Amino acid sequence: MKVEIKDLHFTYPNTSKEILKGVDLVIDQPGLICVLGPNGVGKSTMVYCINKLQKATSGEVLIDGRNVNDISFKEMAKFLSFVPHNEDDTFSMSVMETVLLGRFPFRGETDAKTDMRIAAENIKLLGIEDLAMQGFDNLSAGQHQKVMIARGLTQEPQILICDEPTANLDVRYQMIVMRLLRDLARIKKITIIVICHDLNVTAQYADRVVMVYGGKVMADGTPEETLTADNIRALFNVESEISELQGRPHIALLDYDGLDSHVDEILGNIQKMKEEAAVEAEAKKE
Amino acid sequence: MKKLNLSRFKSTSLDTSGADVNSLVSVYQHFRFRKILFVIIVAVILVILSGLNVGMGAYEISFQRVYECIWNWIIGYDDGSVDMSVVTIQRLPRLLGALIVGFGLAAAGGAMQSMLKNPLADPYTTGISSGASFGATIAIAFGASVGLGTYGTVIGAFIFALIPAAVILMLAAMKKCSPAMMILAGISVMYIFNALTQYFMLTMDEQDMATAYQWTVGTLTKVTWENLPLMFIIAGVGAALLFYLAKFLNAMNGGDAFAKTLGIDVQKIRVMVLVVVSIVAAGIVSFTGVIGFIGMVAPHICRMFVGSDNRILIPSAMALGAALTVFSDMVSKIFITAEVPIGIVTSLIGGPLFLFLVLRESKEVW
Repeated sequence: MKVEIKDLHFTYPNTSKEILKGVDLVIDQPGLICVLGPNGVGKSTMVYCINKLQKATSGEVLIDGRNVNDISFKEMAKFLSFVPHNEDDTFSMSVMETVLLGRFPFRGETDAKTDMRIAAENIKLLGIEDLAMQGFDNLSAGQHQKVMIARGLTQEPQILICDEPTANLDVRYQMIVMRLLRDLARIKKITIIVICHDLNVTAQYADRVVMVYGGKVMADGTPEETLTADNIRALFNVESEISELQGRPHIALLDYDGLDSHVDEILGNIQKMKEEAAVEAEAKKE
Repeated sequence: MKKLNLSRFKSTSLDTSGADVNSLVSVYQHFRFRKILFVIIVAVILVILSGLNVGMGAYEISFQRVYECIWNWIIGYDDGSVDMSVVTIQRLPRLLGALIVGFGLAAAGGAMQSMLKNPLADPYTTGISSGASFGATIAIAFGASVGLGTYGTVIGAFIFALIPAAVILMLAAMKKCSPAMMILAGISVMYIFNALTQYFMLTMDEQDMATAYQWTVGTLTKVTWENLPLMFIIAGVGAALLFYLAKFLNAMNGGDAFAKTLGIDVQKIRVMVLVVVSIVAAGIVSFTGVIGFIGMVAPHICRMFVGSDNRILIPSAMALGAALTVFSDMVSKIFITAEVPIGIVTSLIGGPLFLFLVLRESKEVW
């Protein structure tokens, strides 16, 4: 499915700060697409404008030529699924029951047996069949992630949106989850959009990288095209050295003098807070 | 953009061979059946307890005879025996009252807990019960009961039960209100109403005070054939609606954002659940007074056996809630000196039971 973002602007209600200042992006090929950018730059906001969790202030998002505002959540759930960042596991159900929620948009259309089969297939696909009857609350963060991805796939989507699926995971799980997403995108020929933080995991597995900065798409292309020292400097304000590893860019982040000013600023803030507290305490005594 | 090079790496093998998938499906079906079996077992226990309950009393009737009389009553045949009149006139309304109170409060409590994601949520901790008992007290204090009979008290209870419900509804409409805040708000409303109830009781004469007291502790003795149909309709329709909403509550367990992407109007479902729960709780409490712990304990116990799939949880909590209430009623009948109001018994049984369950629970629930 083709996703087009046209001149997307976004300002949070009751604030004047414009987060997205005219994003243009076309996604017309299946694959694993990683969205990179520093904190608070509007990566999530941009992606949430695709699945309507946020409403653009102006501009439009089209899926297969249709404006998302004209597509109901109910209809969208049949071709687009969402894997949240994390999930509160209070009163959660078993893994199988959780994954079966992915069939919710199709209730009344497919029979229970088919639904169970699809859920079971995706549980098998993610290699969590041993956990299928266990409670979601008994699982680790990495297993949670797999269950949520299985649930997303059970919706049989054309587009899968994952919000930081590798946060909270150790390096091995980060690799496993990203590789899995890449393979799923290829095998099922679907578009998987992932909000990501780790540069090397992105470099290793992404089919396409979209860098968001200053409210716009700063760079867009293959990992080789986008993950350059210049782009990384512009995006995160850090120095790096890029080499090649297993045919993919490898990013080594450098400690350098320029970081001092930032560290000084933080230390200065701490000192200032201490002084203010001391003054306040003094005032109280008097 | 460059064309994607898909052959750069060997892919992970992702086979979904049929045999494994089929066995997973059948394991799940078996897993589900075990949960349904739990509901059936509790229902059978409920039937046994009901028979024993009706048989108990100064005039004892055998278990078999109880069900004979009930069957006769259902088919509309009166054999003219003393058993028959004791069962149908004296004891059956009270049993049916216990059943309705039990399943209604448990369904309300179960849905409330799932929605607020808090095991402490029930009609009592959300202030609805306290509001009702305050309404009843005020009706008695100002003599509304004189003009309208029992219904004056019932109407008073119902109106004031809706106040805490409205408070929670308003909080739910606020975007930043967390489930924990709703419970805390409910508890503070509960304190306010309890204090007001106590104050009004001080101003009453002895007889009114005794009537009002019954409302604050909960009793089944006020249930009659006249008010049973209304109680049943409120609790029955309410429970059926909550059962219908169960699948939405399941999806909302995955978080509001996720539920929204499934096409669920989260806010609407939340308001619907709250309205139904409030009406069920208010409807029951208005007739019987505050019967504590059933709404909290029954769903909590069921969660241990059947998990948190609300489609199973709500019916099983209904069966268990009814069984617990019928059992508590039997205990209250044992005290010969004076019949102890059931509200006291449910709290005396429910309190330690809940404490035991909470301490036994290895992982943190809240």
